[in-house]
Amino acid sequence: MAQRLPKRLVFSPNDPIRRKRSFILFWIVLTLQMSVIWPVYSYFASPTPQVLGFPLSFAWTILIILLSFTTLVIFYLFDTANETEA
Amino acid sequence: MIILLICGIYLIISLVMGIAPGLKVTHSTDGYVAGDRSMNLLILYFVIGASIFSSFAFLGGPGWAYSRGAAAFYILAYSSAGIIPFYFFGPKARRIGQKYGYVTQAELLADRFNSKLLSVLLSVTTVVVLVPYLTLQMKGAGLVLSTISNGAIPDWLGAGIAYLVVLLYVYFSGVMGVGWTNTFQGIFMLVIAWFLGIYLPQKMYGGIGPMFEQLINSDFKQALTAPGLQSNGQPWNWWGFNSSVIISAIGFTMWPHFFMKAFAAKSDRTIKLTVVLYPTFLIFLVPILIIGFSAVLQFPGVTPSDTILPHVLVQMDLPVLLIGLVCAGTLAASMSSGDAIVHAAASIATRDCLSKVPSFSNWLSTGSNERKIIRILVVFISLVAYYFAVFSEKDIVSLLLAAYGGIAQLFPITFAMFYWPRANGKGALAGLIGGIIITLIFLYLPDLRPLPMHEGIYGLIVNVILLVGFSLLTEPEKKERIEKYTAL
Repeated sequence: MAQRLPKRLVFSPNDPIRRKRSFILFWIVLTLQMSVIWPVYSYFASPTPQVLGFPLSFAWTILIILLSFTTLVIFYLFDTANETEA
Repeated sequence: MIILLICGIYLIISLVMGIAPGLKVTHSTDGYVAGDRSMNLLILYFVIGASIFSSFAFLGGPGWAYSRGAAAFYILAYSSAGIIPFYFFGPKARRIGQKYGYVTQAELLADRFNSKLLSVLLSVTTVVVLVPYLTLQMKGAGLVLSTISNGAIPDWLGAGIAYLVVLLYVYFSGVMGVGWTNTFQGIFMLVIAWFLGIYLPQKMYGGIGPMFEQLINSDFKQALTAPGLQSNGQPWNWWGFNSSVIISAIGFTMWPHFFMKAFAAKSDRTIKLTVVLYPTFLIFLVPILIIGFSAVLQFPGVTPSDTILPHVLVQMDLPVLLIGLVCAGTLAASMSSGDAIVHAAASIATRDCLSKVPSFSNWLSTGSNERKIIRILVVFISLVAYYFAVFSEKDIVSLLLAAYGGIAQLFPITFAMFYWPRANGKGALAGLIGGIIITLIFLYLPDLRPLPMHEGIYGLIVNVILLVGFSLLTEPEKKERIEKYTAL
């Protein structure tokens, strides 16, 4: 059984541009996710000040959702895998 | 009376919309389970949005905001990142599914890892975790109908009526029935939620800003400080909040009624756009939570807190027409998840468990026998969940959270399926079994946990270690097998 299999993880081996962008997306999303849990979130955990009427703790999570939405829209628009489709 | 009439009309529309599309799809399993792989963006968006926003969102969401304050923000915190893996998994699963005729998650995994045992194990796990989910939906429907009818319609009858409608259209139309009704139900509940979220604070406090101002100046300030309160009213700790967010974000895309929709999608683009647009659905939780907050000062001491929405509706002098629409909206939330769940559970039990029984599989593959069995199971699973909904006093929300710990255990093997060529069947089995056992141990013996984290986190750690360890120590799968999944 002389199979030659890569031992590492394999991501889009034939599309280095997409791989690179996916990694960037991964780190951005991870950062955003980390900012709605401890420890980052603890700096925004207080209900005051109110942001547009919402308590800070609430407004912060909404902001993160909007940022994550924006990131994903941008990623989608530049997703190279879209071009190969019929 | 008018309220019930509106709910009645709503139920009839759902029924018609659910059965009609079933007349168009083919009489194959592909048609019944995966809608002939023809779902477009509009339908997929609402199916995925609506099947996640269940009665937990409409009743549990306001309930959490009302009783636990900022703890409810955890629902917002996990979902935006939680869906992103689907952007990558979804299109891959769809293409492989189309090529080899797969319609369930376990079929996909079992082929990659070359293990029938894995398929059976997965199907048992998923059906076990889906039943409490379904039970929760039924309880929600019953609760709404009984509250607004002032008890004239008891819980069991309310849940029974709503789910008879669901049963009918799932039975006849399969996944396309789910698709079209969810689109209708989804639009319906979005409108209702936004309306209430703006209207209630306006009416009670003169706006959302003034409402929160009053809340901050009251004893509720502590609750509004993240991570909020525990169910017993004591402040929640960050360990609990963090691990709940993480386990939910990981488990999110693994729910079978969610993941399986990848096979129903028309194209890769449909899946990707659904993921991209998903936060627009998510924002709908904002008015939902506001509904709960609006009741804090006006209606203190309502128990159980899940009844807060119907309670507010009955207590406030609202137009009857509006109350009727809200109740229909809540039914929509419950039913739109319930239908997807029962459909997924029945399909999985048939495709991944029964068809692996040697003497049974031949009979199953002839003619339309398979679809017949799925339909019988749709009825059977509904009855089981209905039994629990009516006769069990168990706390379903805690069961659901526990179910998240179980479902998250599918993530490592799903990830490895697509991205780690070296992963093999033994590793997958060891990881899954180990992860589930650890999760169960800490679920039933929570005091043994080293840190007060969600039990699923411990399961995941063990899961990954076993998956990697066993895979590296044993022979890899055949190259041809792996190439279907990963471009080497």
